[in-house]
Amino acid sequence: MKITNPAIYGTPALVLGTANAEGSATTAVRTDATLAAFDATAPVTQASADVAAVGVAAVAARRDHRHGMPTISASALTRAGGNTTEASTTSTVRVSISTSTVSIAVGTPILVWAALRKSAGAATNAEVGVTMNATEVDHSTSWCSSTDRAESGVLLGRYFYGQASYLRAGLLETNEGTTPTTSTTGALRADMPAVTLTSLIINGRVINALITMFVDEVHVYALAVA
Amino acid sequence: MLCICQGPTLRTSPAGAPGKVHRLDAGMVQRALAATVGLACEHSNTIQHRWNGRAVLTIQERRIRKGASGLVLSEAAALRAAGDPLLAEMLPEQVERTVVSETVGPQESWTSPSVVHLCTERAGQPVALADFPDGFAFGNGVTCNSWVRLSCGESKLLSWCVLTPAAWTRHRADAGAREALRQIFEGV
Repeated sequence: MKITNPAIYGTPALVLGTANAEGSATTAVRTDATLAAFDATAPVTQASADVAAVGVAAVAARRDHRHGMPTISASALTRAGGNTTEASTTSTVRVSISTSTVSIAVGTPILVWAALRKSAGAATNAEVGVTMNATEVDHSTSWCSSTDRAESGVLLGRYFYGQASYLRAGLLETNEGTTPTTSTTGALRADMPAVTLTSLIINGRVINALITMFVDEVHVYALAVA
Repeated sequence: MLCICQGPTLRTSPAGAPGKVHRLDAGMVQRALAATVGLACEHSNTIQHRWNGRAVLTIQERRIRKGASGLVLSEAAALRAAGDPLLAEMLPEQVERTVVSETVGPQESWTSPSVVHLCTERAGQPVALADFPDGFAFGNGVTCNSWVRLSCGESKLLSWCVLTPAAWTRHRADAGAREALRQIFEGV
């Protein structure tokens, strides 16, 4: 059909599609007409493992459109507690040197990290251990030499909290830095509590009160299970 | 016996100095108690103060080399004299101490007036031994700047010492000695 003279104009009714089509209207489109290419519907929020889809909407997306995004899950390693006040002791029997307040559920893998040091003053060593709530799960691990000198080291405890088994699911390792040695305790001395962990204590003692043992930078980390 | 004071102890590093703040440690306090106040601390490894009393421990000690009881020095010297150095080789040694029995009795204690609850429910009330959680060990000697989680859930920074019986008798009788002890831990 030929265009009329004079031309008759109408409201555009163009449809965005996947194939070209002639149409059947008898009116023309002015050069400053507005085409309905967009709408006010927000795009969907994506989810992890979404499958790709072509889509069926007959409108286009604006250049600056945004999709909602799924929430990124928490870090796999979370600091659950600790303290950074250096505690010290001259006790020759086990003493609760440094307490960290935490809230860790049974079944959570945990890491315990602490800095240790001892002063000079006698040819003797010092021992360290871990108490969980009211249960002394480990103690009397010698972490330094008996040389009369200042020494420093670290404690690393790895536990599957609350797990009771013939291995008691835990390992306490200490390293003394002046002369690199490693003292590793195997299976824990007692089963860990089967309730939420609220208090983790670094315990220890010196063999001779002429030296001082220090515990500092205690950090307790909880690992995500999944 | 047991004397509990408010932490932290006095700082030893100058104000404004870079890095971590250094404070009086247990060894410094122990020497100050003996030198300036004449109060001796308990150091016997058979005396342990705990949340539930004063424990007297019976200790069994074994010398362990590579997991087995080893030679005592006199035996090693005899083997060396016999001319075979390998037999008398001094292997790395550990002393294994085991508590074979314990007797827990009452303990006497003194708490500084500075040690009070700060939690809303008990604000201003003195902290008592009954507030310490099950399993808590005061040990003996001196312990400084220890974070303690009380039974009510409140965390407090405390220091304490365990005096010998003779020193405790004097501490009870002498207000000046008590105040001097408190000032060593807490300052003026």
